[in-house]
Amino acid sequence: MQIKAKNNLGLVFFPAFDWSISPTHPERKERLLYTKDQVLEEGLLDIEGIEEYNPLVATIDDVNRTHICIPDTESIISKPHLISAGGAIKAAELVMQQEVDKAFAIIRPPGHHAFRIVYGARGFCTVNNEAIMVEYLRQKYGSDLKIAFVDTDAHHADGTQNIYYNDPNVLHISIHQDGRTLFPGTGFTDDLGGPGAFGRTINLPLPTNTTDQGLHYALDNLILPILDDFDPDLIINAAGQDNHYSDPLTQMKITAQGYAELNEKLDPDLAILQGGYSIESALPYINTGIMLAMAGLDYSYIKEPDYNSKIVKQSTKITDIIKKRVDKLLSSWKKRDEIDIQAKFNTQDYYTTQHNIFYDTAQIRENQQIKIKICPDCSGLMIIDSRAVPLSIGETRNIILPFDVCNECRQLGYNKYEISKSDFNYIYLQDKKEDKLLTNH
Amino acid sequence: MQLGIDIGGTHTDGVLLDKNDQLINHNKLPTDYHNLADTILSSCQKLTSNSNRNNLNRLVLSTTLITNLIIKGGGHSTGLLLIPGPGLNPAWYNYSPYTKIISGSIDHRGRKVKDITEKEVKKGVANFIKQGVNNIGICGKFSTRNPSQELKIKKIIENNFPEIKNITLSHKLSGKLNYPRRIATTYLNTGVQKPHNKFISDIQTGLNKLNLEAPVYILKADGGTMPLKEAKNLPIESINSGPAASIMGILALTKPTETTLGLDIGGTTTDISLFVGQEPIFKPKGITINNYKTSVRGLYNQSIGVGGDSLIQIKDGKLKIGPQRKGSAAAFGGPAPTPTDALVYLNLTNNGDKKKATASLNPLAKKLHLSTSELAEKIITKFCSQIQTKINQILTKLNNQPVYTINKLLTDNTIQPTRLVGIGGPAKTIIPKLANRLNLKYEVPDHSAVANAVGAALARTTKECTLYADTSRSYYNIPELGIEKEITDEFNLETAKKIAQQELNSNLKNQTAEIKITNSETFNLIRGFKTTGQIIKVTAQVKPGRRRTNAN
Ligand SMILES: [Zn+2]
Ligand SMILES: [Zn+2]
Repeated sequence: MQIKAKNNLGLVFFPAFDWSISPTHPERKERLLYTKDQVLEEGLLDIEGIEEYNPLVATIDDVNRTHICIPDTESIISKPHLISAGGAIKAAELVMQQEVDKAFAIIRPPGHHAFRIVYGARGFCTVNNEAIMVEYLRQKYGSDLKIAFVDTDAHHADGTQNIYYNDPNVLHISIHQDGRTLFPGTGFTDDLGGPGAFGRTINLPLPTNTTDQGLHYALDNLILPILDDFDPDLIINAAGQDNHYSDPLTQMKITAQGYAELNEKLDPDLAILQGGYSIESALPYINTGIMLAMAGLDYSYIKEPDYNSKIVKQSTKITDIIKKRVDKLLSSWKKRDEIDIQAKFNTQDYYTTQHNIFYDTAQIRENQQIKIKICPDCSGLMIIDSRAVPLSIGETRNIILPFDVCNECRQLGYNKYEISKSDFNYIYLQDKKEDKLLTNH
Repeated sequence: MQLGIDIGGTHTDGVLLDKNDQLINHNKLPTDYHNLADTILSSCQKLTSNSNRNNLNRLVLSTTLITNLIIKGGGHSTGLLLIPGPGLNPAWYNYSPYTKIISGSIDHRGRKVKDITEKEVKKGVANFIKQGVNNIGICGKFSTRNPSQELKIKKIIENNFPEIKNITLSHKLSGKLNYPRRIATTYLNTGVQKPHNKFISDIQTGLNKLNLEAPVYILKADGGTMPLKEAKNLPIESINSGPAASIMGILALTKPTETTLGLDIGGTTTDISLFVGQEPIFKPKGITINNYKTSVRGLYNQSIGVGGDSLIQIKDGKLKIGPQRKGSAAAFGGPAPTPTDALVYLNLTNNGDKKKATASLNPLAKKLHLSTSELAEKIITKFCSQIQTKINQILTKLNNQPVYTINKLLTDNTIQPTRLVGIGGPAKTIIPKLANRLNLKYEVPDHSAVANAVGAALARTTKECTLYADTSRSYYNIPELGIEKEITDEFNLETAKKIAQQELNSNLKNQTAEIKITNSETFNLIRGFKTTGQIIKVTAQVKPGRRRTNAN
């Protein structure tokens, strides 16, 4: 077999065979076992231009650059999380250092349900691997890097969306099974981003039983045109595999071919594994397909053992719903810069909102009161007051200074930090520009 | 007493060792490629006498026959019957011009997904025969998990085509997962079987004539031996036995006890090997020969194109050593300056004509505005630094091998050699200098000229097997040994280890083997929040090493 990859592909393949959330949890030790067997048996790692790498171990600073862990990072995360995040960082470094053209981090646990503020695990995620990776890249290679996420997991990428909701240099597109039928129950077409990054959050909920046809309609008619407009420096596919027709947790009908073709068209610089729990019938084939597609090689012979060509047919009702949503999103994308932000957010100084977040894995309920300053000079100072039950630490205040923070917002943030000390036992200030996290305890 | 014979590129070295492994006799003969058996037999004849032949316990051969056949593209036409199932494009498996894809498939857990059809097989084989091809290799994806389709095809051929005598099944060659490598290995093994069998029968006839009745073994790429009878089916295992003999020679002559770098400094190349504790380490995936990536297990060995006879030239005003070799060193009548000439000039070796060495070095010295002795020193330094760079590359690569568990990722298993041993012509002078640069202890053993033959003579029989058990599917199999058995839910890792050891032991018959479990993994199968079974993987191995006295 003398095959050479068209694109040099780096694989950070780290199945963490000795770790799981709990012995019988779906995100389990065995999860990537069959993928590993398939990849080894296919001889993929012998293909010239496909190279395997070990993950790095991310540092606490890498986590603190992205998250505010409450009460502190050390008590919430453990080595497996740092390694999974480190796997994403390694993949990104391989691409940035031009050691490879593209990289795929096949890591676990996944990350896309982890919000900026973290009290524990939710949706099998504790920290957001891909956000930690992006914040690492922006710190090292410049915060003006333009990044586009395309999250193709069946679940709404609510965590990644949360972290980048008000960040103008990051486009976040999530396509997922409709939130009315699946955890986390969010991700509707009206979520379009905060006042500092309006229009740069895009959610396309897909009806249950959407097939490759619907996925590719959205790709061709919405995602690819938007990416062309946005013209990012890096495209990241948050590659969840739980849209597969055999996945036990969802009701979608995507095939391994559908995933592979998506990666061929999307042509991402980086793919980061998210969910996917049909570990025997889907993951081995999807992962092999993605690897071949990213390497620019023929994937047309990849098929699930129970594949049936009828599975790609989709009802016209589903097709119509998707078309309607795609049209709506496309027109709001086109008008994104014509919007009067103060009118849209109905305020002149601070946009305030609130958020209830349920940690299904850790069984925690969190309420956030969010204030974002409407600022003509930067994307705006953000203040989040958060309370989590049943935790006993009371209300916490979290002040976030974005990468593009202006002097005024910066001063304001540090002043707030000082004066809030008398009112809050737990107060945090995350300064992206100075790359530091302050706390009063 | 034991005989070891190493058939090298130009010479064949033979050694006779007494029962305490001491060297009694050795010789060096030119290798006759067209008649390897004769070369071997005359080496045997010269080493032994009529009186001591009866005391001989064993004879081990390290042969380049198969390596050369493969490199020269020799061997016989081989038809491949492939059962790839879904996955990579089957057109990529373009090893043989005679290839037939059979529809059928097995999945990663060894479950049959699609049956093979007898008609397709018959048509394919009939077509091979029509084209004059009567050696056949059969390879199914995941056949190591379930060999039934390979076995079924074999039966169909045997029942319908008695003229096909030579069939190789891929699952018998390796228990590891890697379908393309198994195809390559099957393909090569099938093609060289007939010439190899002729070689074996020539040797047997010749040894009978000499009244030499001791059992005969062939050295394998993994530094172990296999009995001649077993070698008949597995000729491919004997590729790369040259480097393996050299590594086993280092092991036999220096008995490393700590992490050790081994160097065999030859004429054209320097071969670098590694020992961790008392064991040589393996190539991570398998041997590559003539651009074929195979699944043949081999000792770790990296060549660098600098040796005692490497050509020295000046390119772009800089000194360049190797990778070309024009002939022997000028000091030994060769056409051009070499590192050996630098050693001769500096009086670091007793042999060779210093005048000729000086004459070859002088023009280069002039060009570089150096005195001849400055140039000679510079050559030696450069020689050492090239090897040092290669060693550093090797260590970096080995120390960054992928791991799959958190425990392994966080454990520091860095290979850091503390000792350097060297054999080969210039070793006596080069090794101390190199050891100094690398800050290592060193050793240059006696008899280093016949190290390969000694290594072969003292190597023990090695064997590996892999057991894969799936309790929810109620079976285990050991593909290399052709074993498949039913099991119950009680089957566990400890049982699996015991069975792998027992089966390997009974396969080795008369060797009192040290069988080690080199890999073991278990996974709980979780279905719907319940544990429904276990997948168990165990690899058992007799590692290469010095044979224990009085054993085979
Ligand atoms: Zn998901
Ligand atoms: Zn501002």
